[in-house]
Amino acid sequence: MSSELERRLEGLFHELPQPEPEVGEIALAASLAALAPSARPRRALRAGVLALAAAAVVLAIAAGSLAAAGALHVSLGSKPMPARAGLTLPKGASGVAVVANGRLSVVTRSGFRLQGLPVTAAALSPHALFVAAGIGRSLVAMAPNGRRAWSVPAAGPVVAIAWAPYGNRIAYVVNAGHRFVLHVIWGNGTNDAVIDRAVRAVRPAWRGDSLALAYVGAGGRVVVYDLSHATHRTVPGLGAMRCPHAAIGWATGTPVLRCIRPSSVERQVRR
Amino acid sequence: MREPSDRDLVRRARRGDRDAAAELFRRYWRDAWRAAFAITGRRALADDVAADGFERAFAALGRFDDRRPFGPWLHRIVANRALDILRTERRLAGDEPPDLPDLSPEHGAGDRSLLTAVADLPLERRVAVVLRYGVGMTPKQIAETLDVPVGTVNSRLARALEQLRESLEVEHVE
Repeated sequence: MSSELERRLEGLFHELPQPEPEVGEIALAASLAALAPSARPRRALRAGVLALAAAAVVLAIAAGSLAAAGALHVSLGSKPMPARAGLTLPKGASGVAVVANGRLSVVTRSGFRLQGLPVTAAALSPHALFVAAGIGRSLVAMAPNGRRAWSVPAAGPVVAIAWAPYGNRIAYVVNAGHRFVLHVIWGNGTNDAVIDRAVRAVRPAWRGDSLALAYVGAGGRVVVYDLSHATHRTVPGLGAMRCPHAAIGWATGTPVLRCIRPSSVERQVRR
Repeated sequence: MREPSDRDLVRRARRGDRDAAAELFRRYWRDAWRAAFAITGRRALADDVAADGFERAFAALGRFDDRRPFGPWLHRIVANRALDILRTERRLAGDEPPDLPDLSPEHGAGDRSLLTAVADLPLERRVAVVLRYGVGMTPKQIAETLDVPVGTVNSRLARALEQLRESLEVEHVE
């Protein structure tokens, strides 16, 4: 027989809050993406998109000074790309990830194919074996079969992600409400650490040896974080760039900050 | 027209029927989220745990024995995922205070105290209480979910209720 306390408990649980509708929408899309990938019908590839992908590679190569070792981060023009357009692999690439209008599409050489997943940011791992994405208020790493390898909760939406060239670390920026916070986490989803509690929402850039990370501090200056010594160093001459759409990368061992055109499409090609 | 059973939906979803999978999601999303919220005590974690639970469940549909009910299997995944995340988080950062919900006006201060007392229960006891009184599982189902003997579940529930009564009495005296 139920006691008074047990009846009160049952009543209280019915009063628990409901999930936010957009959380359900995101979770549904992610769950459907995880549904038996082999059983899902494959969409036909579109020749026009192939041309677009090829154009992206040309643009990416042109943006050489902003290329981190092995990875090209390219922002295309201001015209939004259809969120669910088919994707093809540029010749010689391991994978392509596109975030268009908040939807992620990924194709990799290993057969990972994902389209239309709502994300806040995304980045391919070296060799495109995994994709890290901001989903809701979490950083999620998805394995080649589309299943989550791991996820960690964040204080808010993840707005920028950069996977280290060696694959052993991921840097990511979280919108914590009144500020942006830079984290670094191991590639296996453990040892999450806050690196800087006030940064700009710009994708950090890893040095080629994966031992240093450049990011834009809250004041607009480029800061290099050295993982070996856990030290921060402001880079002379790279401060206070008044640019709402900045990008950062490494060229000949020195971080470079550039202003790029506004874009609603972000594309990453892994070679 | 008769609504399809969970078993029908599971079988169709296994064959790649996204509409069937979406219907399964709609049937269980709210309860799974609330269970995750009741265990973790935090909205952000509940969002992640419930979503992750569904993804894992859908990815594993091929291995699910469809002679068994879908709901308890899903809740098992969600509860275990919540426990994993809370244990990991506690190891890394210690306990964080829960987001206690705003109760509707007809609930008194006593109910708020009860919610606080539930949030303060040790993790294993809190999970048992949530699965018993929130999700409505029997002790046997909870035992299967947590992979512990039924006696352990009964013991956790009894101790949890005892602790809750003590907490409420202390508050009443103060």
